[in-house]
Amino acid sequence: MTIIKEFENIVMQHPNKTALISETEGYLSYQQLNEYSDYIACELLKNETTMKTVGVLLNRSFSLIAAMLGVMKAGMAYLPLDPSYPLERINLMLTISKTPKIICNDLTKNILDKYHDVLILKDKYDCSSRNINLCEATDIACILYTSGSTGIPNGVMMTHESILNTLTWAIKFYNLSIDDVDLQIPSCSFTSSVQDIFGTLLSGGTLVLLNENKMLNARYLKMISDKYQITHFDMVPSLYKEYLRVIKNESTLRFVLLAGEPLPLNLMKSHFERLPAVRLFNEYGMAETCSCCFVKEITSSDNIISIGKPISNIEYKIYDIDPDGVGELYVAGKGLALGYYNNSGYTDEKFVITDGIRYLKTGDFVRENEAGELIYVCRKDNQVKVNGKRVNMAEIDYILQNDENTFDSITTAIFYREKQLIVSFIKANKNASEYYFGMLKEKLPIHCVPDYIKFVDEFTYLPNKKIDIKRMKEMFSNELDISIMNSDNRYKIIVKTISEISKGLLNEPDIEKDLRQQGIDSISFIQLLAELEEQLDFEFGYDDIDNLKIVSVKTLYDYIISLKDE
Amino acid sequence: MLNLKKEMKFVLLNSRLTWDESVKEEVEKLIHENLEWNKIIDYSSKNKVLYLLFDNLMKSGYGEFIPKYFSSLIDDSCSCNYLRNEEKISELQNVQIEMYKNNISIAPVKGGYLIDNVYKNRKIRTTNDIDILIRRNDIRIIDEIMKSFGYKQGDYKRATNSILLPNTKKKMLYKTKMYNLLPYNKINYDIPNKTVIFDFSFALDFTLDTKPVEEMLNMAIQTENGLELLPEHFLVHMCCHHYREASNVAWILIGKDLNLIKFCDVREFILQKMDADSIAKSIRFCKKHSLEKAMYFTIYFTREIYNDGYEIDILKSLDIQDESFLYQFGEKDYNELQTRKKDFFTSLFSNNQDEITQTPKYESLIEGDI
Repeated sequence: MTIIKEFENIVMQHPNKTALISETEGYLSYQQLNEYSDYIACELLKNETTMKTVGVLLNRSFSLIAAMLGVMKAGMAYLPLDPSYPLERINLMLTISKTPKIICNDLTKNILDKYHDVLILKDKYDCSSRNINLCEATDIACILYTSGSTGIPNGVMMTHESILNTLTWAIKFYNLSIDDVDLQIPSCSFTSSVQDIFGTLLSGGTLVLLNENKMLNARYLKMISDKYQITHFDMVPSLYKEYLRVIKNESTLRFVLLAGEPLPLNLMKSHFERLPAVRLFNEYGMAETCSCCFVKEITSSDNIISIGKPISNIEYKIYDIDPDGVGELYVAGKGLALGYYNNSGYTDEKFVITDGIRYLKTGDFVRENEAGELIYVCRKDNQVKVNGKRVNMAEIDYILQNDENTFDSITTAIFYREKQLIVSFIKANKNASEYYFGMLKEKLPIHCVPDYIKFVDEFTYLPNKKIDIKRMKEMFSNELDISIMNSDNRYKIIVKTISEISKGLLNEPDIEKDLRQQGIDSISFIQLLAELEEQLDFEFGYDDIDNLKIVSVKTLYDYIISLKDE
Repeated sequence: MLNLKKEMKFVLLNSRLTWDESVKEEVEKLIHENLEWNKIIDYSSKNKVLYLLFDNLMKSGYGEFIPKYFSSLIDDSCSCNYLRNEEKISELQNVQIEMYKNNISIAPVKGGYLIDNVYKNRKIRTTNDIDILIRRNDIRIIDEIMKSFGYKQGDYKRATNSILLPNTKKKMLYKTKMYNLLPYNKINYDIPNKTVIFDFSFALDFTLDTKPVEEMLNMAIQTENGLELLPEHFLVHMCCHHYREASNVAWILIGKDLNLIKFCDVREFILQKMDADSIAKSIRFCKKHSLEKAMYFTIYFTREIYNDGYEIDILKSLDIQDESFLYQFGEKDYNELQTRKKDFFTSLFSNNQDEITQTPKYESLIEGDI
């Protein structure tokens, strides 16, 4: 069985049922969606039948869903490319996946460099192609790129049969039917989208496609929910928190599915205060498990949030359990992805055979409670050692988030100038560091108390609405840089020399921007470097100047302090 | 060339190692005319071909035509040049051995190679410094080795008999903008002129692109005399060097922008060391690294002087349509090109400082050595 075969069954049963609703495009029936995807499959097969992957660079639209189906119908795997992602990231995915063709439309065709082979979808298409279906159960249906620990994304290969394992379970578990209307929120490049989009389409339900630009606008989400009588949606907790601020008791909403981030206890409480009749599910999963592999229905009486038990045909074991019962979660079963595209080394590293069973090493620490449910503890890499003692970020956040003054928090480790620092970012109604440090010192061992508390009005988000912790770390490091530099005489000399050399043009230079882009000409640039050598008694080597690709206040300062450290 | 003064023509005809009968006949004809020898000395000195010309005249039996007071002076001067070249080449060999021991690839170019391998006479080819190609990544070790030999980076000042160290700005100018290192200089009281200078380059021009030199060194051949560039690469280096000096203000200001010895080097090297295959490789190398203008410039004016016949095919192969760059200079110095007012031969025999109308932008950085 394949996704396409299941989809065709639904088309046969409910040809005129609305499959897609879009604020800008209107309505599209199952029959129309099938024809549109047949047309795309036909176009792909016209000149090239040996392609394995096809990029899909489309905004949330009828074309996007039809393209996903069309690529699969042609026996190929779709590689979703979210147009809101930086071009550099898109190009990197295309380069490492060696994707030969990309489906675009008039809105997205100019995003790419001209040398790409593109199929530009037209508004009007020929409906004469019928029910193309060249895929088989073991074929790769899609390749989803996830952030790699090295900074290079890894493409996860998901087959029809492994995705269907998740979809079959989800349709039964959530009792999805033709009466359901799903507010389609996860980005196509995010693993939840596979379950969200195809779970709805294979149960005959309706997908409501949102306007991309308003995705983070909770009031817009609320308006759409009301207008189309949404029955469920899948969100990341950080976005749901905003949504809950504007939502009232919804009559049509059956359940809310949260995934992609740990579910904070206070969010669960807010949910049941606002929507007591709406069921709440906490899903755990990743691209490597074809979306969900553990699930837990959360109730208002829960004191601790668990990720529950495995879904159908999924096994697990907890590896290397410590005295607290915490170990790394290994997952096995039918829902496992095939591995990483063009990266057998990383596949062998992450998918291991133990006792004859193929497991995915999730990189997540969990423990099992008395009911046999799993409690998510933290990412393996979100646990650091400070002076040899283990610090768990989730533990700090648990305390912060249960404080009445905290709206939300996220704690992370930052490796700054050869030192491990713990930083808590807090959204609170009381911006008082002393209060929080005092409270944490009462509840945590001293080595677990964060080094810094940073109050923020808002977290920074990725296009898939997850918190962009990497960017937040960078911004915090920059703030620290400025504060440390401001107290250092060498920094003052750098800034003063720049001001003098530029004859006052740069009294307050942008510290991260290359000075040559801020008006320093080539002569002044040489004079500046020479002057700094004289004033600060050092000498640039040839290699040093080569290495300083960006010559900014910050890189100059970093270089000069590195000389002292040497 | 037709309108040149007879002394200029005489210098041009004698600026070569190899002759054909027509040149011999012209020289024979001119030597019997009433030549002004002070002009010949002046023109040939400016063009660094005085000893070559003297040697040619002596070999041809024309020594009696040279006024005696000039003849003995030039003879002495040639001997001094011989001693200087002996010492420089000996020093080059020492440096080559030390670099080899440290696994550093260096290849001599220009005079350091041509004196023994093309002119084959240490009296007749002058050389100011010893030019070497290096890899940019080797700068630190090269600096250590040169300092261990007693060299300092700076300029020799005759008045104080010392090496003046560059100021910080000049050093920074070299680190950020130059294709070569500050010259390494050592005082040697045993030789006339007292100094030995090494000039190390890691790029061929002000683009500072290190790839061409890397490629040249990668393909160079190890001989018993050290690393030797392939002929096609040696020619490209000469072309780039000549074009660079002709098109930048710094060399015009010191009167070294154009001189005959450069074109004589090119001619004699091609005639002795190259064939159609290696010339074709040179052209391909230039095209690969966008150095066509440099080769076109050099071969174009080599043809103007010598017209041996092979030049026209090279020029055609370089596919250059617009020749206006041949007389232009100063792009790096002023951010805009200037055009020479004088023709090539007039420039060759004169001081061209009058072409300079503005101070080059980097001038302020190189004043005030310590």
